[in-house]
Amino acid sequence: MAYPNQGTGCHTYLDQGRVAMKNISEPSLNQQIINALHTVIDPELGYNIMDLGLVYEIHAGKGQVNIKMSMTTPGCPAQDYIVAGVRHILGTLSGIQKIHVQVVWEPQWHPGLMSEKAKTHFGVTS
Amino acid sequence: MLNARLSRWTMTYFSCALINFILALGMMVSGHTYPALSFSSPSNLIAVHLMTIGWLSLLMLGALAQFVPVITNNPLPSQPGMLAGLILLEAGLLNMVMGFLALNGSFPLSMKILLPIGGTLVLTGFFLDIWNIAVPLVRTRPIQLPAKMLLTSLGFLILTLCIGLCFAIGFGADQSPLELYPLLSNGLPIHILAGLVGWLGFTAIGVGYKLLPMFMLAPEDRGHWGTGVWGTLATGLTLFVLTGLFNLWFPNPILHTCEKLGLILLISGLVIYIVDITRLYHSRQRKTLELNSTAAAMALTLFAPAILTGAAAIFDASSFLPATVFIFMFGYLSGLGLSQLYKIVPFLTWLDRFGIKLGQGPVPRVQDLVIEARAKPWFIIYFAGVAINTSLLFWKISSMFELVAFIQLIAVLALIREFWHARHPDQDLISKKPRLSPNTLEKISHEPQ
Repeated sequence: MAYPNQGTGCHTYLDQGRVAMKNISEPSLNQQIINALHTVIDPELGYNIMDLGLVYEIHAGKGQVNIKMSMTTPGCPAQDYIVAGVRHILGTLSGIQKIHVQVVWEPQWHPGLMSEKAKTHFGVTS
Repeated sequence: MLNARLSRWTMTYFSCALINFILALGMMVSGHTYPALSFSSPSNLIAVHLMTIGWLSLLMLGALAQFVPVITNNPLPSQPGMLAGLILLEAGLLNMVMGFLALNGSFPLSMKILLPIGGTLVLTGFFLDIWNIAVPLVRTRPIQLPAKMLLTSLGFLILTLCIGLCFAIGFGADQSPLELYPLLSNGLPIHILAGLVGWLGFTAIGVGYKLLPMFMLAPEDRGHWGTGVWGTLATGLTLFVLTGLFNLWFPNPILHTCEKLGLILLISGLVIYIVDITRLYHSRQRKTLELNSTAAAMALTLFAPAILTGAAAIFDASSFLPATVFIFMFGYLSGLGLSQLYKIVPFLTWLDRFGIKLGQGPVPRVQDLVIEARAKPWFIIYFAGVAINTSLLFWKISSMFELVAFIQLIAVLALIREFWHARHPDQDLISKKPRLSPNTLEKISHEPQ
């Protein structure tokens, strides 16, 4: 599965497990963030939040990371823990001092945002 | 605050509810109660109230205490209030049971005064919980379908409680007040329907409309179908209950016709619900179902015959009502309750024990806290027991009932053991060797490129 890795590009596309990467000057930081977020799971679905397509946007630069993400359903009881998990894992990366996580409900998450791998895992057909 | 979304007393409600469920099943196994006997016989009243207040109401209230703040994004006004509500409900139920035993002759007849005392305690406990649960619901805009269902259910709960208290006063007094006589002699079906369908049924449907799409990745917005279910059910039941109550004191053919019309609307609403829930299962994106969703489907399958026998009971109550009440309480409500406990207990456990560890190293999935292969046969045995006992009640065969109830009891105890295991995960999961999904393990071991 390929994620965009386009330096300072500002593309936004949310389909099929892809996430918009913005203003990332360091390609290696880009990959580190993606790898780190792959270790955070949605506990109910038991799959990582990146492949589930829950992370909509990553904006990194100057020691700061802004994450725009969603949950599988509004009012998910695990929301606080997932957000705390994202903040914690990103906090372990060198060069990142500030982490801001914003949970949004627009656009609403749907299974079509999953990566092909996750879709296959859950048997999602469309 | 990380655990702000966790209800402090939900697991305590669930534990008390399951104990009451075992007691009610124990009464059936020991032959102290038999659904085909008159509903107003004291032993049946004990079992019915253990089931409706002790098991199903505590189960629903415990689930709502967790679920309502989540769907409304508003906290409960008072967590200690939920505990006080539970204590009052359990104390009230105990008093009521002793009052019924006095009616039965097991206790001195003077102890029947415990009936109105217990009824008042139950009423107070319920009102405390209703306040706690209703406040976040009414504060939220727009009111979504599950919240509409829940507010309707709370309205019917208040109505059921008021009617129930009148019964408690009537049965508990040395001489029943004359004004209550029409209700005491003919009002029981209204009390049963308002409680079983209005309170418990609406709550189960409302909670199901939130949880089932979430667990199966199905569309949450039920559109016109959902509105149709809510509108038809609420109109039908309100018409039946209100005109039924007026008809008790002021008998009138028009009121009687409205009562029947209410029942027909109610049955139609339940049919629309079954069609919509079938659509929901068919439109799910998660093709491989987890056991909680499969078991919920079994409970919903038993709902269909309950509607049929319920419709038949309009014309011949004595033949069809016991089987209808039994399959609705034990098949649909209890079955759905057990199936959702199988998911909610590990989920709450995960939030309690592992949520804080997310992002700090490997954590198990919620699904890792249960062993489906071990629990599945017990769900099948439980639902098969319900189906067999419903048939026995329908055909008026009493000889096998206790044996089948015993099998049901064993299945429930086995499922409670599964809930216990989910609540007390083994050390491998808690410490360093979680049974992670291959997907997560692969990602954790993956070096940054």
